[in-house]
Amino acid sequence: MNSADPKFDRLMTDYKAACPEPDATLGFMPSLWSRIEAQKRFLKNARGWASAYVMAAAVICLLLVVLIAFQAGRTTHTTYVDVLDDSQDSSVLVEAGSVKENN
Amino acid sequence: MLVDPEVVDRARKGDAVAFDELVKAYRKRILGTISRLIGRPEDVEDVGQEVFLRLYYSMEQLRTPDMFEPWLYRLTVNAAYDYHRKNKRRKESRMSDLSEAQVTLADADASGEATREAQRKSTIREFVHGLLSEISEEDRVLLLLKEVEGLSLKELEKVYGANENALKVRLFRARQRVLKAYAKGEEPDRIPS
Repeated sequence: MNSADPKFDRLMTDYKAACPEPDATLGFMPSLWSRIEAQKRFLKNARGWASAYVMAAAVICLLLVVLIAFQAGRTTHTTYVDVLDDSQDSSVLVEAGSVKENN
Repeated sequence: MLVDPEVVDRARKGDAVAFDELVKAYRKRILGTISRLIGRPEDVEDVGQEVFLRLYYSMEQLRTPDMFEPWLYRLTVNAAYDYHRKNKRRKESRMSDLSEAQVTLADADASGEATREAQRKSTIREFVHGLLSEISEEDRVLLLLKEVEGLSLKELEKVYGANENALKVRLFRARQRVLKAYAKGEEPDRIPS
């Protein structure tokens, strides 16, 4: 505590002497431990909720993957021409002159 | 250090008995520091508990027991900053209240040596608070830690994680500003001896 200014040092020494030195009340430690326990409970709950959300998100993701895979299995991989060919009667195309008759 | 490094080490590993021992060893010192940093006796214990609560949940981050005291002071300083931030509005509305000296005078119905001494102390406190209000919150805390709490520059370096020279400059400027305000004020008349 040496600021090289005796006036300032004296002022600070007087100030420290003038300040009350509070001591903890009897309830300090019980109250501190109850705050620690409350915080622990809060963190435990928060962790529980967080893991529940993670689990739910994982389950939803899994369901979506299964659903997408199922949908993909049902889809046929045909080209536009094949689909058009299947939908039109070949005699119509022959009449239109688009296709030659094969016999 | 007020406790054996082994106690700090045990507390760091989650030993509740060791932590209890730590709190009991340091609470008086920390409450005294908080009292000077926040200046409101009625809130000292609450802020003190906040400091030890934060200590409990941050003990694992402490690398070595010799860093314990700077760490505790760091938490104390942070809690004081948080307190001031939260109470800024309340503090402003308090300006219209009676000053501390006025309250003491009003309380002191009975005359006597003890009352006069209490008045003198109260006047000194109020006078120094007035001088310290000339500097920023951060510099006020730094100056109090150095000049009143008696922390060395090396310790402050650990508390603030800042360069010693930078702290020296900040302290010098803060001190100059306080001294300027001191010289301007009518101090000799205000502090009864």
